[in-house]
Amino acid sequence: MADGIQFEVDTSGFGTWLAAAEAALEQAVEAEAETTSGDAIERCPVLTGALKASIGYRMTGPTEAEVEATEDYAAVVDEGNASRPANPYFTGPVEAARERFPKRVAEALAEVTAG
Amino acid sequence: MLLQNEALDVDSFIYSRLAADSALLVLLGGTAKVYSELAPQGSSPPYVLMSFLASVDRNAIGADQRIFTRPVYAIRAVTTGTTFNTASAIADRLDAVLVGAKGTTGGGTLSILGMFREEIIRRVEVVDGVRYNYCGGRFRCFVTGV
Repeated sequence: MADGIQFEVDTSGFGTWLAAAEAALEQAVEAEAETTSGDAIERCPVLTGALKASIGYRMTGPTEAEVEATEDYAAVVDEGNASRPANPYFTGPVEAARERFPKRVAEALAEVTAG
Repeated sequence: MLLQNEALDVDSFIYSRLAADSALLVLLGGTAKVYSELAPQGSSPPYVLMSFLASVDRNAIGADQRIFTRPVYAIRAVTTGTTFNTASAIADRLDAVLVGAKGTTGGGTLSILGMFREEIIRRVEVVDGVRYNYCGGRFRCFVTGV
């Protein structure tokens, strides 16, 4: 009769990996928010400079961030209205972030896993 | 493979869908007042305004490098008046006509695989004492070559 097969799973290092992964995710989120807000600032049309100055980001949780333009007319400039065409200084960078962010996270986690 | 700047063909696809909807035409006063980017000077609401906002390409390595692109548009009714009633009715037609729309563009070079609404637009602006109502949505298209 063949010998039995036995295997063991050692999870003693998982806590360390998880802590490193959370730190890497936090960095990735902040880096993405910084890139996205920077792109929006770069694309923002300037008349008085108030709209451009209102663009920024803030971390709203360990792995959450908000990028925002806080001037009242921020959305109107982005989408346009009855009297002015769209100038998507904000939507463009957000669309680029949608594409870029998953790759950024995957790379960050791969680096943690590789040690 | 996509061989051209797709946005204008997608504009035409959206326009043709909206202009063919008789219920929408009634709400717009009998004519296809559907405008890209800006309404002609002197246009009076109600009308539909569609604005190209952005598009991200999905590429591959090889001869057919661009697999598809995903333009997003702000498409909304513009009305004047003290309520959203007419704008909302038009927005309902935009939703009914565009969500799930698919087909080939007029030039026969592009295939619209589908359209989806991603976000509601609802906004009021007051310009020179006139209240303008905007109601519609952000619509995304999935576009590939035929």
